[in-house]
Amino acid sequence: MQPKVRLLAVASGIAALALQARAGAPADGANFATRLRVVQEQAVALHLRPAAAQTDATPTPWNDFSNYGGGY
Amino acid sequence: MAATETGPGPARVTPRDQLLVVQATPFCNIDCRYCYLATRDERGRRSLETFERVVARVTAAGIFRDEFTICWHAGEPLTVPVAFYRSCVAIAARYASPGLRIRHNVQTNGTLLTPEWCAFFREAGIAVGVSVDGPASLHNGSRVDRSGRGTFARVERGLALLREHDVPFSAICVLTFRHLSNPQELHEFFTTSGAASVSFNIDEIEGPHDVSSFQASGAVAHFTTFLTEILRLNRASARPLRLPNLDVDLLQMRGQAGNHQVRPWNIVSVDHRGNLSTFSPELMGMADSQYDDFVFGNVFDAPDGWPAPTPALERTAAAIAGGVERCRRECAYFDYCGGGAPANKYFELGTFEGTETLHCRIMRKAVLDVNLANAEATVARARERDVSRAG
Repeated sequence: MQPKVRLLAVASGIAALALQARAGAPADGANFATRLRVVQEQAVALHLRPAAAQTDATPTPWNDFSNYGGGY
Repeated sequence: MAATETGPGPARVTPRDQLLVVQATPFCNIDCRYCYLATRDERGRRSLETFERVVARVTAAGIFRDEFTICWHAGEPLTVPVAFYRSCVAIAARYASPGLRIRHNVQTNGTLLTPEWCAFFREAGIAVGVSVDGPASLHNGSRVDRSGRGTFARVERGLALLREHDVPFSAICVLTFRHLSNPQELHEFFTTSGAASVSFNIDEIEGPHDVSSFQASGAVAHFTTFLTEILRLNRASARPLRLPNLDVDLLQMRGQAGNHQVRPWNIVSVDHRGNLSTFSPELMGMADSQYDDFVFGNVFDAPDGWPAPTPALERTAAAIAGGVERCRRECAYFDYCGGGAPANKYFELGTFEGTETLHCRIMRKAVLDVNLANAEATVARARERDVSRAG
């Protein structure tokens, strides 16, 4: 990883920790959205997540038909 | 999307998620304590003519694109003879085409499985889901027969038959508060059950089941501990289970995916009389004059085309859209949920226009929170590795 990218990842990690400390650990409400954005940005910087966004048709917890079953 | 859009339209869901829920019969041979189906004593049965009409109407109207799944559900499908389904598979095949694949799946309580059923599932390529709530000590608490006796031994025999006949199957496990103290037992059971995947739900407040064990105080915290442990056990397992609705990879997933339950005809539900319903399948057959009992047409109503939107459909769609809009404005989890399940809002809050339900506190928010914590831990570990390599 390039030093600049690593620096960004570390900085955003510190920002996330500060936000968590302020909000009081477990995610809720707006805290969830902020923490998710931060961790996803960190994941991109660490090459754990592709940078290009694909916004549609990605199964979410809603789309798994857990109530309706049958081979999912 | 317009707030009251009511015609069939492209769904923002994957083709595999296009679902035609077909009730062969409302009758069920068992009597689970949390069942939402008020009509499960009725022994009415769908005719082949009604089934053909359903498939003909759905395909002619272009309701689904590329492929869809016929899900035999809402009553115990295996109380109807194999011969009926053999005919239905043949009928559906006549309406499939290179541009429109039709799959079948069956959701069964597993108590009536026989070698004949297993052979048929294999031969016809039917996906099988079995409802089983874990080992006997947990399963028998809710999944009982009409005499109140636990059904586990019968389900276990069914699972053994599926394994013996090499029929792949998935499982649905309905959690009650009691399950939460037994993550290890539950994980071990499913790991050895042979299920390819396990989806979890909670005993919901729906239809005649008007209470949930998750109304107990501390349920969210208890569920969070349970889920954290199940996911830890699964990741440490030599043969991890696929847990599609519990193990959510937030590092790969993008938000803004579709919610198939909030637009009309993304899901089509058809009862054994040919009555058409949509939105959450649990609404089918629920008595409510304001919404015409959620019957928005019948496959025999009009000779051609898809039934025109009824005033009740318009009212339902508008109310659901209102609730989704409130979720969009008020909830940080919206991008990963899309506005909730209309059935849960209706049964828990008495209105489609509400927002947070017990179901979403447990099965959406708590699930996402635990997976977010796991994503943060994954990133933290990667960062530590990176720093130590650089150092």
